[in-house]
Amino acid sequence: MAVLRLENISKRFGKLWALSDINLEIPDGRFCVILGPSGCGKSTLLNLIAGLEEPTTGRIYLGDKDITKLASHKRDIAMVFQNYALYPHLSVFENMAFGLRVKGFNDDEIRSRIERVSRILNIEDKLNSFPKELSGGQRQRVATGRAIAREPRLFLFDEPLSNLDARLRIELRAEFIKLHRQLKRTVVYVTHDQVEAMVLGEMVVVINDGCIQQISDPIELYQNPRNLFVAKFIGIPPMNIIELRLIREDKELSLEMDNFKLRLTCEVNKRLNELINKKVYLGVRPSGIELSSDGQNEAEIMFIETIGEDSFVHLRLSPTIEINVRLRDRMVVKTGKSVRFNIDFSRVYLFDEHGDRIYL
Amino acid sequence: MHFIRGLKRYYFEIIMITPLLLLIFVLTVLPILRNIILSFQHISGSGFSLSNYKHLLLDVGFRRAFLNTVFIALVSLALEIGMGFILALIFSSGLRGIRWIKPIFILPLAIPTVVVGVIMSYLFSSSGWINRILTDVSLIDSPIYWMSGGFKSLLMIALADCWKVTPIVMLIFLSGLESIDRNLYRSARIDGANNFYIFRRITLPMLTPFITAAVIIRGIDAFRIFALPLILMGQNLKVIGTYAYLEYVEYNNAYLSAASSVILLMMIMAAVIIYIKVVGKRGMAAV
Amino acid sequence: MRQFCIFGILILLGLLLLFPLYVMLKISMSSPSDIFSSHPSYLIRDFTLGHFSNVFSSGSNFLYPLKKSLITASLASLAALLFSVPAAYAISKFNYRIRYILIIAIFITRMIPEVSIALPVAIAFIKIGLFDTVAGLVMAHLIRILPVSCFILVGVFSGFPEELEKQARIDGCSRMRAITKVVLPLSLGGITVAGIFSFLLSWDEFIFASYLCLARPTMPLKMYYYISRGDLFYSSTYAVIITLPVLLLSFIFQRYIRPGYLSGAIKG
Repeated sequence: MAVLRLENISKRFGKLWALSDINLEIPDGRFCVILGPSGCGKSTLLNLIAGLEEPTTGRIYLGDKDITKLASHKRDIAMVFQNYALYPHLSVFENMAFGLRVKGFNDDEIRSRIERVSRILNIEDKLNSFPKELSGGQRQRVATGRAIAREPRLFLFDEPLSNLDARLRIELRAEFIKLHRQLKRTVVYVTHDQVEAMVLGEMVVVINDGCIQQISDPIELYQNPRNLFVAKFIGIPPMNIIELRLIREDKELSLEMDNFKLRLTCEVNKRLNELINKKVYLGVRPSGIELSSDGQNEAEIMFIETIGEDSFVHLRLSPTIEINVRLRDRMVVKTGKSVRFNIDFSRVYLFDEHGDRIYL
Repeated sequence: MHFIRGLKRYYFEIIMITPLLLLIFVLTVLPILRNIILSFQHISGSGFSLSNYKHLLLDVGFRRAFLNTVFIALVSLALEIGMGFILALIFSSGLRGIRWIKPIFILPLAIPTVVVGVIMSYLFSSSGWINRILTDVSLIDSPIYWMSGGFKSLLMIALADCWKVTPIVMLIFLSGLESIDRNLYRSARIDGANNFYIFRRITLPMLTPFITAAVIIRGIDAFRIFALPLILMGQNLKVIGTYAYLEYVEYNNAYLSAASSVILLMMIMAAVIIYIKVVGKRGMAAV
Repeated sequence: MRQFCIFGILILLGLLLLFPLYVMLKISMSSPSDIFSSHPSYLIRDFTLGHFSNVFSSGSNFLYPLKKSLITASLASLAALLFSVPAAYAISKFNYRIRYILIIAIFITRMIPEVSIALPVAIAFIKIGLFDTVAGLVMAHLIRILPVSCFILVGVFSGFPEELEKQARIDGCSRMRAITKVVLPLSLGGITVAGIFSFLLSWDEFIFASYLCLARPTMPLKMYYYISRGDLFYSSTYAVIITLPVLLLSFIFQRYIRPGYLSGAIKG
């Protein structure tokens, strides 16, 4: 069984904490995507799992075994790098055979494994080529094949698709899904691309500033972000975030800023009571807002973006607040005109000034 | 605690680098210390003594060697930096066909310094080729006695050094010029800057680290000059390097030799420190 | 027109630069009557290879210095690689601050005048019996070579893609094995270049040799001996023999000795 468990992992470089207090358990056979902006510590995390760096504190378990101090060549893992890391002095076949030879497999076993893997990945006719003769996509296939041929307990991918163009990325993404279904091995896949995370991940770990922000499946991540960072980071185009103040008038709560006002229609709970007269962030996705002639608020249309079938309208609510609204049903709108709109309150997320979600 | 963590993180690297550090310690650091100790011992007795330094300061020969060293270092360095800079500007100008000439200007770099000394002795001897050319183009009537000592000989050594070293300086500046983004020139030109303004406001400031590198690297070598004065002038005109050598080899006085080489080391260190103080931190980026 | 002028000046200057080398060749290949005439010509009038055949047939007088120089340079370059390959690899792996300190420290050893190292080394070698031996000279030459070979190799290893080494380690190699199976084979070109320059630095070395040799001179010492006796033909012939390999190898490997290697090594 290849359950990967990280306990209280921290990593410090000099004075900088690259990772702090990471706790994570990835069940056997799960495709886990680690998602975060560049410099968030996700590659460091992968290096720790691979044994290329040692954590400052904490323990790493693979199965029942504590591998924290184990050298990386004894860990039975395979890794695929962003720039493929193919040995330029070896042919494709020898690249794939390298790890197997080090492990002491005999030639027949090596040959049969590589033939099987190269069939799966469609690189059978490239086995005698050298890396410099291959295209980017082929190189990525060889790098992946090299990892698969090892039949490791754990696969690590470090942004494997980032160096490819958009079409190849989509093609290989689909291939990764198929491969994972066939092999049923545990995978840790690092990326900064949320679409990759959404498509590939059975479980997604969002990291920022060296801390885990949220662990969940992709849908949950989109529909139920735990904090302001996840809410901002997930979703294209990004969620509208508006800074407002929670005001109480008589029995009613409302959110206000400048001349914009939104009445809260939910029950007033204890948590909300504590936040009265404080700053809160309101998040709503472009599809959570509707333009309609009997809308609660009014705004000016600044510009309209049309991307394929979708159109987005940028509205100015007040001198400091601008939002992005997805147009429904081919409504006709004009730049510079004034429109009325409603915010669908069931699709609103509230966060306190520290960015923590306020559950309603 | 920090130190121990460093040891743990880098234990493999530390094992790999230790042999070299030990070797450098035995072959460089220990000899230097021994040299300094020698310089404070007198030839006839043991114990601490300043007599070597006293002797050197009073010795006219050493004082002359000191001035010779400084003179040659300054003149050759100035010539090399100046010529190297102009040549680098010419060769980076991108004139058509210029890259075919460039190898000629790099060639002297590959000639061993001892050989340069030998060749220069052919050229500068009284019946040598320099005098021959100068008479043929009617610049002089009677031969110049380059090797007769004094200013002419100092100039000769500086010129010989120049021939060998200017290519290195030129290459340093060329790599500096190549590191400047061409788009900076383009945008400056669009902003309406003229050639001189671009040179002063873009080229020169961006070359500063390379100029520092060239001055320091070549300056150190200029003070250490040895083979050229030894071969060309020998006993007749000494710099500190050859003074120290001849003191040991000809007069067998290791103590005096040690003291004079310590003074040379101090001069080099002082020159580097003064230069760095003058150009400031900005110029240190390349070194 | 301006371009034409610049080219004219450059070519004239180039000829002037080449002239000293031409003089060396001319003297080594002209008969004495051609050189010692009252008004010697610029061209080689009376071509002869006699000086070369004289030198080559002078027996142990020529062969011993040649052998000593070749053996010393070979051993010195091998020893330099043996010490500086692992060290340069280590330097390229340290973090910025330690790397900077190490490189500056090695650079400082290059700024020490040779005369102040050669003297105590000579005194010590006389005591322990290494004076006038190949082993002693090899050790002295290492002082000169190590900083240079280190700088070249730090450049080589800093440019080595880190992922390849990580990949080898994940593929099951220990650190040592990753180095011998992946890093070294792929850096062979750079290591060869460092070796060749180490060889040349020992081959034409003069200062340490003049402190540490007496009865058994090296090639540069032999040439110095002839020039100080005023022997034009032997000295110029030796000069050609010493210069030729340096010139050839330097030009073949010229593109590897960018003077920026110093800064490149630090910036990584």
